[in-house]
Amino acid sequence: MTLFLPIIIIVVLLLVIPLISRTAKQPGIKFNKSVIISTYFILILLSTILYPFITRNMHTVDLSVYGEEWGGDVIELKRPENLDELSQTFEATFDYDNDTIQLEAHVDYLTTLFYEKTDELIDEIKVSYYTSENDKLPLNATYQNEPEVWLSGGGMLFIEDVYKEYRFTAFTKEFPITHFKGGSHWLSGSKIGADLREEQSFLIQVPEHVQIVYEEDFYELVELQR
Amino acid sequence: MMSLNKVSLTAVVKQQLLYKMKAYKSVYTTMILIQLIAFVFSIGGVGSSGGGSEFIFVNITYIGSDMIIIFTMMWAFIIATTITRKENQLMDVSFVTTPITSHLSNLMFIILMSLIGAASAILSGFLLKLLFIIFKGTDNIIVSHYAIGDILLGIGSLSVYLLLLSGVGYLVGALIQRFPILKMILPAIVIAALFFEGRESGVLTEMVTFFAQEKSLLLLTFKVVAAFLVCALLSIGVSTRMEVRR
Repeated sequence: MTLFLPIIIIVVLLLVIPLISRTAKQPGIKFNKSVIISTYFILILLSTILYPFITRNMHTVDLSVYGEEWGGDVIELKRPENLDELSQTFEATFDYDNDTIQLEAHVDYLTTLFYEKTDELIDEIKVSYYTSENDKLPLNATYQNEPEVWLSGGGMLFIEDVYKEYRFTAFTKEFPITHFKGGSHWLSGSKIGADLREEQSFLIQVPEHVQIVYEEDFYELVELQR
Repeated sequence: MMSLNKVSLTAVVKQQLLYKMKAYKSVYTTMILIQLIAFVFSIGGVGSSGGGSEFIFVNITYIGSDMIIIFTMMWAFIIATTITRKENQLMDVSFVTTPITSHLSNLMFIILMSLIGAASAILSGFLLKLLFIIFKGTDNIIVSHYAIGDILLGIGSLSVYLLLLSGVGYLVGALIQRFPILKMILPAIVIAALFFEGRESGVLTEMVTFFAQEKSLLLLTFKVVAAFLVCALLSIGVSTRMEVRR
């Protein structure tokens, strides 16, 4: 509501400037429309010119990298069928090395999923998630003989007998909070389930050669640029 | 009295256009007033979303020129309908004029008006955002930076939409001048149509979709220019039937 003040100032300016201008000194109070128009246009032009300078050091969002889209309330991270079979028979670690993981989402939620290709990882996928400032510590994990991992707002339950392939750490790098639109996310197929809240988001780090396939209509998948 | 000077169509249209640009200053002061009203409506933001958990509650308010754009669109439509009013037509009698030159100068004025309206609507968004930053501080504000290309694209696409609306407005104005009874009937038709469209999508929805969902600026411009020409020709056709000024 404090914006009423500047708007009133603008209105007053637009009224006062024509009044005090020479051309307005006519019998009776008569506004000079040309002055009103030119004052307004000068004002908005100045704003446009000054905007990048005034906002230069402010928090910003690179719209080309961090867009926002409506997403699904359930997100699934699916591996190709042959890898699912591997997981189900517990024969091996989660070696996704046929180079593709598929991300799939369901309806009606807004979320951002970051991914990063890194040469620091060779045969594992690292899934991190961002939490509120109160909860940046590495997450607790428990292991059971069932290939499922659950994340929730209050904590995480890691139920995965091939746990070495997943490392969950707090995602401490700060991003604009607007990109952490949450909801319930379920990364399945690979059996990672997560119930993320508004201030949380995933970062999935994968080796360079892994290809990520996803349905872009459902949620935002952002390649992280460091 | 007959004039012996032979003047070209272009010269007459140009003369009338220049005259109208000076005479119709109230068009722009109205636009400024309307945009300032839109500023007031934008105070609380043009949209917001929020959510939270046990740790944190996040409320996001979006500040932008959406409301200014909507108000400017209404302005463009209304102004175009008023240009065809009798008192404005009488203004043309001060010059050597024909219905064609009068219409051409009006249409040129509308094109110019659309450009100016679009530029001011887009650029005033920056003024609004700066006012927010200046008076509310920089905390908790995430700004978006724009390239000049983005701004020009915004102005270009809004100009095209304003041109479409003012073209339709001009046709409506011409029809009302020809058939004054339409003053009463047209609003009723529009309201009734909106009710019907609300139930199931019909022609109106199809028409809006045809223009609003076009993603290519070039194609949109082509569509709008075609629609504008149709509106202009219809307006001229309707008006020239009233050859004798009543």
